This record gives sequence, C-alpha cells and structure tokens, in this order.
Amino acid sequence: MKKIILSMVFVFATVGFTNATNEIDNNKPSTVSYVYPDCWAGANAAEIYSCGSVGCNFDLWAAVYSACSGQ
Amino acid sequence: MKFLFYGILCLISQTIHSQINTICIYQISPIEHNYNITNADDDVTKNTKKMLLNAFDIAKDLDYILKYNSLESTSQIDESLVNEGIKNNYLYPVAKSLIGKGIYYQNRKEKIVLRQAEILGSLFIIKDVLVNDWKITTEQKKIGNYLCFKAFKNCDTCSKIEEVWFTPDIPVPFGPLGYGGLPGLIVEIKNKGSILKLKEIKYTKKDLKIVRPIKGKEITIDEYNEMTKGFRANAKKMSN
Repeated sequence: MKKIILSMVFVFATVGFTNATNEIDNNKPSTVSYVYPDCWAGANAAEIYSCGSVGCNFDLWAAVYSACSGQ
Repeated sequence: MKFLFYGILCLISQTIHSQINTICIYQISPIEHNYNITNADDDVTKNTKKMLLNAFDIAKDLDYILKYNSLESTSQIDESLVNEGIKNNYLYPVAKSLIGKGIYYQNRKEKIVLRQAEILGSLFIIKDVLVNDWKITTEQKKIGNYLCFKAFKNCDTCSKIEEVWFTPDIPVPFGPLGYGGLPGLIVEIKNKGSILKLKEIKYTKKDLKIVRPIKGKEITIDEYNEMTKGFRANAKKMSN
C-alpha cells in the first residue's frame, strides 16, 4: 500500500514539474514557434504591417519567410 | 544688434557641429496598435503579428549607431554588445530586419548612398544616388532638447518611410539608414509599424574613422529590386 501511494505521489510530482517547466518555456520568445503552412503569405503580411506594402523591406520578408519555414 | 548676435551664435553652432565628429545612438519601438489582433485576422495574420511583436522585444534593445564627420556617414546595428544567446535566437534576423540590416554609407561630395548587406547568402553593395526629394513641412515638435521639423519623401513610391523629424539645431545633412540631405540631423524616422528614435548623442574631438564598405558585388538599386522580385516569385511557386 505504501509503495502504491509513493508511486502515485512520484507520478503527480513529475507531471506537475513538467507542466510548470512548459509554462515557463512558453513565456520565452525564443521557444515560441511560428511555423505555419503559408510562409509566403506570412512574409507578405509582415511587410504590410511593418512598413506598409509588399516590397517595402525585402530583408524582413526573407527573415520572416525563413523563420516561418524553419529554414 | 540682436539679429547680429543670433547670427553669430548660429554660425558658431554650425561650425562646431560640422567640425566635431559625432556618434548618434538610435533605438526602435513598435507602434503597438498596428499589431493588435482583431476578429477579422486569419491565422497567418495572427501568427505574423505575434512573431513581429516577439521580434520587437529583441529589436528594441539593439542600438543603431550613426557616425559622421563633415563629409561622410555610416550607420548600422551595433552587434558588439549582443550576447550569443540573442544572436542564436531564430527571431534575431527578423529583429535586425525590422530596424535595417547591413551597413549604410553616405558621401555628401559624391552624392551617393551605399548599402553593404548579405542577401540570400552573398555579400552585395547596393548603390544609390543621394536625391533631395524631401518635402519639408512647418509642423514641429520637441524631441529631447531639440526643436524638430517634419519632412517626408515627395513621391508616393520612392520610400517605405512615412515621415522623418529633423533638427536644424544640429545642422548636418545625415541620418540613420542612409537617409539624409535635410538641413539638420534626422532625429526620428517613422514608418507604418515602428519608430526609430535618437536616444543619445556623443561628440568626440578624436578623428572619427568612417569606413567606406568595399567588399561585395556592386549592384544598382534597380538591379537589387529585380533580384528580390525574382526571389519572391520563386518562393511563391514553391509555396503553391
């Protein structure tokens, strides 16, 4: 009986710790992933919101495309 | 008599500012409401806005340095104090691009602007001419201690920026990101999603070495635009 209770405590503690770690990680910008299927549209949107039109900042376009596609 | 006094004062100020070598430090901040997620946004737009805001978290801590003497200027992001952890963040290239990648060089005598930048893995020098196509307005505001006037590019398609604020208090024709040609230092540059603003200014009597970028294949701004257009088109084909 003691062994069963100890095992359960161990399992709950591990799950709790893992969840807490995930929460902390999710708050870091570096671990947030923005990979989505239409990177071309995403890169275009980035230009529109940052400098007003598609074609206004190719470096940003390429950087967002690359970050999105994971290349 | 009073007029003569102010005239002499202005002349002294101009002489001091044009002879002393100067280092200006700028920092970027996002125009937050531009990235607010609305009900009308699709998933791509939502993700892009979130990505850009996270990239701004990195970008707003980066210093953008403008150095000038009486003839030339260079400007670029100061990466010397950026730690490896930030440099390895996959959003770091996005953050740099939000400000402006590469080294900008201006030469008043030759009336040229060069930009040395790595594009798609190769180093280029993009050459452009210094054209004075500014429209100066009478709108004014104080930025720090400087009285500034608003100006914008006098054509619809020639610039990605919306407006700049320059100060005749520092009568030099330079600014960050290759902008210049106004009757005063550019203190603030605003585009749709961000503001690049002067944070600090340092004068030095030491001879400031302005290094003209020479490495890289020289191309014109038109060739650059064609090249990037081709890359976008290829990427679209791949995404279909």
